[in-house]
Amino acid sequence: MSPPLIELKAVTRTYAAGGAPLTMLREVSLTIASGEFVAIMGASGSGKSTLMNIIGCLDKPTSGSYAIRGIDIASLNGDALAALRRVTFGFIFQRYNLMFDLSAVENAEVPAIYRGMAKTRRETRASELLRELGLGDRLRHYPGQLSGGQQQRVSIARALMNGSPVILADEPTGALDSKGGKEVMAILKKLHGLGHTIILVTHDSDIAGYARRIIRIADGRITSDEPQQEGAADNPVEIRETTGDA
Amino acid sequence: MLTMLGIIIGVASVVALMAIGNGAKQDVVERIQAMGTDLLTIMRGPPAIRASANIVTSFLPEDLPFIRSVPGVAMAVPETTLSSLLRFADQDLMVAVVGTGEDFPQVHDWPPQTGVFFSAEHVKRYAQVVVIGQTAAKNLFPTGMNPLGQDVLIGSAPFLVIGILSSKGLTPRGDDMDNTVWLPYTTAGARVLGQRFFNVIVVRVKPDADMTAVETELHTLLMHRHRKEDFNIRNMADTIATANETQNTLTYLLVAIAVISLVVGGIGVMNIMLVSVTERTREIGIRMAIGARGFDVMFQFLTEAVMVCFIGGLAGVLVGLGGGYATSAIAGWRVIFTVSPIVIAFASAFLTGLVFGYLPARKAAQLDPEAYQTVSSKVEEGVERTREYAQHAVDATKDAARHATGTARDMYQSAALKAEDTLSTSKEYVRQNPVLVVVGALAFGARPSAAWL
Repeated sequence: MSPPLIELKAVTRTYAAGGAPLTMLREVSLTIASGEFVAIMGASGSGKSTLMNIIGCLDKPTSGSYAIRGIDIASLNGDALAALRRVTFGFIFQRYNLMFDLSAVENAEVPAIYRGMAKTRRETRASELLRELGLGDRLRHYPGQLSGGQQQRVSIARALMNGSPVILADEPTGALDSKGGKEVMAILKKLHGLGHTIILVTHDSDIAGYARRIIRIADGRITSDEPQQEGAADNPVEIRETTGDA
Repeated sequence: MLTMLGIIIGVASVVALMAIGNGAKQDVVERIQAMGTDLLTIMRGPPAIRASANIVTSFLPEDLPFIRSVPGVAMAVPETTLSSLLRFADQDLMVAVVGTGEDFPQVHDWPPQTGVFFSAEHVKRYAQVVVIGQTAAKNLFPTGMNPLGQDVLIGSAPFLVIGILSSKGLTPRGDDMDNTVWLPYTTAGARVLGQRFFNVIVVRVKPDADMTAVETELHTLLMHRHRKEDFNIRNMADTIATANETQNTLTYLLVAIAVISLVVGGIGVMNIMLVSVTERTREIGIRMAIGARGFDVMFQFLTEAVMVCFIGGLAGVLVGLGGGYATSAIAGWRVIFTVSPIVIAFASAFLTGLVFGYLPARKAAQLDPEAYQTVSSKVEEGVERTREYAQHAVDATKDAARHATGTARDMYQSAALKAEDTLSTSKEYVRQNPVLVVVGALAFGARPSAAWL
């Protein structure tokens, strides 16, 4: 049997910042297979974001092991981890985190720059992705000229730029209204249908309802890990060219 | 950007100051060259020791024919100078009195403007003739009278003016060369100077001769004749070289100051970049999250630093050129722009960007995604908690409002009930005691009205 996509074993993460050590994760063990749609739920301070950061190779466990397709990330150097973040993982943040002085296309194509893709090819691919996400008429707009939902879609395009079989979404709808949130979740659902592995972090049970598996975390420990039927996610919203706000 | 200002000033200073320095140097060189480049000056005193010059008395007229016969020598004249009072009628003037030979005008390319210079005959015959300079002519003959043919007094001896030399201007040191009169050295020695020997012998070398060879020959000749080295021979080229060196030193000093300014500019750039790195921690974190390597981030910041310095360098060159031209227009100084200072200044700015941008760039690259994530997670957490608390606060306020409203309503209701009560009680009382009420009312001054009944 081939090794699972993501395997965490007894992962602990303690921060030693400014005096009192802070333990965000305690002996977390977790396995995620390729093609899953997982939601990690917890209150603020439960360690869900820390868990996400470790999965996305933005943080290293203090103890325990984390293996991607059987390769222990502790054996990888900075450049190798950067490569994983570039090609394997696609990040979507709550606050979109776009560069304000770059247009939508320019924002989306940044990961491809780091990969060394040629300019015309980059632009073409970025434009295609943005069109598929309904932003075809806003390719040259700047983040300041886009609504929250539109910015989040640019962020999704950016995450998909280098393929990114694993999408990590940290509260992707947190800053959006309900309509915008539904549109984003519809996109994630569609991506899941196309074969991407989706790992979602949220405190909102409505959003978590889109996933097929819910992992609950509290005080740095996993309290439950259950599969879920397709419930809340059955009113897909079509992605179309929008003229107004998201 | 203000950061660029330091670079601009530094580069502009280097460009402008070097141009001004070059101009000044060229000025000095040309002035020296106006004194004659083909000259060897034989001065008293051995080469190294200046103080002993005045004791040497061996420069004699007998040396002259031998000097003139050295191959490569075109002419040679002695020059002995003394400051003395020149008088004519009621005018007088302190001038430099120079006893020299008939070839003086050719040696120095200094022809007479009017009249003639004295001749070999004059020298041989100890003639009492004089050739005067422009300043002497103007001052002694202010009315415009022709000096030629007049007798002027040097000390107590009369001399016939036979010529006026053309104007030569100032020495590099600022002395007025036209405030001079020239006599045959024989006459000067006998009548004015009180000495037979010369202070200086000036030799003009033939145009196609080798200066160094002639200098060596002269040296050998004089060593033989004087039997010791009580003389030193100055080459005009040496003088120019010395002047150049002095000017170069000054220029380098100015440029050193400009370089310091460039370094300060570079430090300014580094500071700003360091601050910028700190401010852009979040951006760096995002870039790393979407796949930037340490190298990518470092390259980005280094490029930014270099760009700032590149543009600053260009602007600095333009400002330097402008400043230089302005100086030459306003102050009248000579300004010579050469390519190398401009290229060097520009390259320095570029290097400054590289050097002073490296440290911040490296710091940016070393920002651990971890560090970013810790900060970011905490920020996100904080935001979420704040939202939760805000929600709680909103709920609590709603509750309180509801509660308050409810209490108010209750209070209003009970008050209303009480008022009603009081009203009906009063009505009852009036019904039951009409007479008392009327009397009471009248007592209080109320006027009767039909409504009472």
